[in-house]
Amino acid sequence: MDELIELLEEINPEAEYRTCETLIDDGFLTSFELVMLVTQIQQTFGVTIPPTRIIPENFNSAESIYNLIRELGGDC
Amino acid sequence: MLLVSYKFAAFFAGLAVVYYSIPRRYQWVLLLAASYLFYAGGGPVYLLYPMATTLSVWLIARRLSAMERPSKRLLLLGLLLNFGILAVLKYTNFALGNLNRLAGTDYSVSWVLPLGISYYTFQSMGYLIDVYHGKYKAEPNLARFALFVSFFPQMTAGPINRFDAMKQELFAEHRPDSVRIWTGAQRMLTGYFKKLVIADRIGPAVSAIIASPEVFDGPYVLLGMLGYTVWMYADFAGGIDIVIGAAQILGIRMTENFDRPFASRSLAEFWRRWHMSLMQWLREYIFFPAASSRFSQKTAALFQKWFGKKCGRKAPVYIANLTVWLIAGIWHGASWNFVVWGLANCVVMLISAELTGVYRKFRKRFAFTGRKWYRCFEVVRTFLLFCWLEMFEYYPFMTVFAMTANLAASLASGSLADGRLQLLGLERADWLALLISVLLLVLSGILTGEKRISARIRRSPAWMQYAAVFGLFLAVLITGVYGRGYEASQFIYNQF
Amino acid sequence: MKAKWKIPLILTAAASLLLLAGLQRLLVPKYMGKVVEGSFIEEYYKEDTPHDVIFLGDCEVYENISPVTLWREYGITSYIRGSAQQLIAQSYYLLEDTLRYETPKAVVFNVSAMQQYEQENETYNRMTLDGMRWSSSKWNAIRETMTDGEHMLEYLFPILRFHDRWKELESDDLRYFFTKKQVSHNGYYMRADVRPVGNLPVERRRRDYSFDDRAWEYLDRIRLLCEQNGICLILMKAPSLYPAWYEQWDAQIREYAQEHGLQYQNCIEAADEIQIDFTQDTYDGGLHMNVYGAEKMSRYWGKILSEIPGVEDRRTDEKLAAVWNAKGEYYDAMKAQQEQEFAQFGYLVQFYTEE
Repeated sequence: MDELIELLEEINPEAEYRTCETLIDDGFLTSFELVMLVTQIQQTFGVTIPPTRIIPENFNSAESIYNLIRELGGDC
Repeated sequence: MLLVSYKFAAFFAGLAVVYYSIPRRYQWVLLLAASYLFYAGGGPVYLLYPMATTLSVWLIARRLSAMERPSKRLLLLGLLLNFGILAVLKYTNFALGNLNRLAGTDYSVSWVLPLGISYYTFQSMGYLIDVYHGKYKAEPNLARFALFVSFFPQMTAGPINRFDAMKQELFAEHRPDSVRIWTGAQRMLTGYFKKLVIADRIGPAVSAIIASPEVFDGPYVLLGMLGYTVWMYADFAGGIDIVIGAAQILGIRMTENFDRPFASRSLAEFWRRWHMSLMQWLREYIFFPAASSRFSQKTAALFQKWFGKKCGRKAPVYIANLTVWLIAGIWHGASWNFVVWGLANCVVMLISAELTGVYRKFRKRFAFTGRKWYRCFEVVRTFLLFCWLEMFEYYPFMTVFAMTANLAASLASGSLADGRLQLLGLERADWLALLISVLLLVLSGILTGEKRISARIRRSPAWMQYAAVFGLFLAVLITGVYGRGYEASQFIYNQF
Repeated sequence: MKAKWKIPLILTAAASLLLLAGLQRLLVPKYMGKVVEGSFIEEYYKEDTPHDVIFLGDCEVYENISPVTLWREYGITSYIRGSAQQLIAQSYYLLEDTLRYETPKAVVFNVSAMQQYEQENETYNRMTLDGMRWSSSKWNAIRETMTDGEHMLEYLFPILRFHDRWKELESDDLRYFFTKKQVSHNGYYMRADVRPVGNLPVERRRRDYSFDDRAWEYLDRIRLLCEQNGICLILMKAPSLYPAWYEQWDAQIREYAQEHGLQYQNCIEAADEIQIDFTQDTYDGGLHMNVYGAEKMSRYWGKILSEIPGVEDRRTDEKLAAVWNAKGEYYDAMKAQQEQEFAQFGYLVQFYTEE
C-alpha cells in the first residue's frame, strides 16, 4: 500500500490519498495521469490491467486501486 | 428522409400513434420496420450497408460469446470488416486525392455515403468489443440486434449508444406517458429552434466568410470564428435534441451528447461535455487500450531506459492521445484539415497536461483563482480556444496563423460595417433574430446550470410553461429558415 | 378528465389557434399594392349578383376585357376569372368552382394557356390558388399544377409558405388585415397608362408546334363541363403581339373549334376590325391592352356575346342596374385618377418600379 501511495504522490502530490475517495470524480487524477499511473503500476507490481478495468470506480480511491491490483494477482 | 421535413413530421406522428395502439410486445418490431422504412427513404440499396454490419457483427458476437476464451482473431475480423467498409466508403476519395496530388493523376469515385454509417459502425464495434471482453452476453435475436444498429433517430446524428443501456430501452414495453411525451416534444422543439432559427440562418453566412479568407479578413475572421462555432453547435446539438426528443416520445431514453460544453473551464473538460458519446467511445475503446497496449508499454520501457523515468511514464499517454486525436480528426471529415485539427487539439491537450502541476500550484498559491470572475475568465478562454482550434477545420494550415495575425492587427481599428456585410446575404432582421436567439440559448444554458432557478422554473404554473413552449413554437414557425423563403421581388409580376 | 380542467384546456386551445390564425392572416401577402393580381380570384366571392358571361384565362383576359363597358354598352353582366399565368388546368378548376355559385350562359376561354401546360414560377401558382375557396376543385387544382418543391401542406397552412415575410411586413398588412379593398373591376385589371408598341423580340421558329396532351385533355374537360351545364363555350385569342401566337397553333385551335362546333375568335387577326391602335391602346408596348384597348375589345365582344341565347340586356333590371352603377362609378373614378397621374408624371405611381 505504501508503495502505491508513493506512486500516486509522485504523479500528483496535491491529494490526501489515504482518505480521498473521489480521485477521478474531483479531478485529482486527469485521464492523462490515470494512464501514467496505470503504466507505472504495471511496471512496479508486474500486473496487466486490461482496458476494461480502467473505469472511474476502480481508481477513485487508493484502496480501490489497491484491491484491483490484488485482484489481478499483483504483489503490493 | 431528413429530420427537418414535412415527410419526417408525418412519418413520426403516424409512427407514434401506431406505436401506442398496438400490443406492447410488438412495439420494438414496429420500430425496426419503421427504421428500415426511414432508411430506405434514401434508396433501398442503402439498406444493404447497415444490414451487412448487423449480420456480420451479430454472427461474430454470438460466436465470441459462446467461446470459453473469446478469439482475438475473430474480434479483429469483425473490426476489420466493418471499419473496412467505413474506411473504403468514406476515405477512398481522400486517399485517391492524395495519390492524385503525388502522381498527378485524376482518379475519384462517386459513392454516396449511407446515412449515419460512422455512427452505427462505431456503435456496433463498441458492442463487439464489449462482448469480447465479456461485459455482457451477445444478443441472441438477430432482429433485436438489427434494431439496436439501425434505430432510426440515431441514424442521422448519433448519439453513439451502448448496447447494455439501450437494450432495456428498446425492447421494453412502453405505455404512453403524457409527461414524457410532452417533455420529448419540447426537446424536439428546442432542437428545431437551434437548427432552423440559428444554424440554418447563420450557416450560409459563415460558409461565405470561411470560403474566401482573402475577402473576409480582419474583424470578419472573428465573426467567422464565432459564427462557425455557433453554427456547429446549433446544428449538431439541435439535431441531437430532435433525436433524443423523438426517442423520448417513444419512451426510449438515449445517452446525452452535450452537457452545456461552453461552460467548460478547460479544453479537456470541454471534450468531456461536447459530443460526449463519441469522446466516451474513443476514451473507452481507443485511449485506454492504446495506452496499455504492448507497443505503448514497450516504448515506455525503452524511453525509461534512454531518457529517465519521467519520460518513460509519459510515453503511453502521448501515444494514446495521438491515436485518439488522429481518429477523432479523421472521423469528423475525410480531409487533411480535419487531421490537422485533431492534431492541434492533441497538442493543446498535451501542453495543458504537462502544465497540470503548475496549474495546481498556481491555484493553491492565489486565492483569486477561486473567485467567480476568474472562473468566468477560464470559461471564456476555453471557448475562444475551441473557436480558434476550429479554424484548422476550415482554413488551410498556414492560413490559420495568417488570419489570426490579420485579426489581431485589425482588432483596434477594424469594423464590420462595410460593404462586405451585405455579401453575407443576411438582412438586418436576420442578424437581430440571430442575436436574440443566441442570447436566449446562453441564458437557458446558464439557468440550467443554476439548479435552484431551474427547479423553480419547473415548478412554475402550467399556463406559464405552456405559454413559453407555445412562444418557442411560434418562433420556430415564423422565424425558422425553411421552405423557399420570401422575396418580395419574386412576387413582382414580370409581365409575361 | 375533471370538469375543472376542461374549460381552461378548451380556452387555451382556442386562444392558441386564434393566435395562429391571426399570425397567418398577418403574414400572407395582401396583394393590394404593386401586385394586385393576387387578389383577383378571391374578389369573385364578394359578388352577389349573377353573371351571364364568365371569362377564363390568364393576363390575356383580365387585362383585355372590361366588364363595366360590356354592361354599359350591351347590358351584359360578366366576370373575369383570371390571374397571372393561369394554367389551363387551373382555369378548368376555377370553372368548376364558379359553377358552385352560378351557371353562366356563356364562357369565354382564352387559349394562350394551351402553349404552356406546366407552371414555370411558383409565385403565380400562389396568386391563382390561394385566392380560391376551399373545395375539391381547389384541392385538385393544387394537386395538378404544383411545381417541384411545392407542398399541399403549404396551401392548407399558407403560413408555412409565407412565414419569412415577418422580415418585410408593411403597413398594408395591418390595414388590410380584416378587409381588403376592391382592386379589380369584376376581375378586370385597369391600366390607363400608354406605352406604344416598340421593338418586340423576333418570333423564333419552333421545332414542334404541338400542344401538350394534358392541355388538350383539359380543353376537352372545359368543353364537356360547359356542355353538361348548357353553357355556350367560345374560344378567344387576345390581341397580344408578344409572346407570339403561331399560325400552326392557331390552325390547331381552329380545327378543334370546327370539330366541336365552337366559335373561335382570334383578335390579332381582328385587330383592325376592333380598331386597336397599337400606339395608344397598350400600356406595355404590345403585350397587354390598357383601358382604352380593353374598352374597344369589350365593344367588339359585346356584339358577339349578345348573339348568344340567354345573354340578355339586363339594364332594365333595377337591382342589377344599381349594383352596376356603383361598379361604374368606382371604375370611372379609378380611370380618372390614373389618367391624371399619367398626365402629370408619365407613369402610374402604384405600379412604378425604379429601374
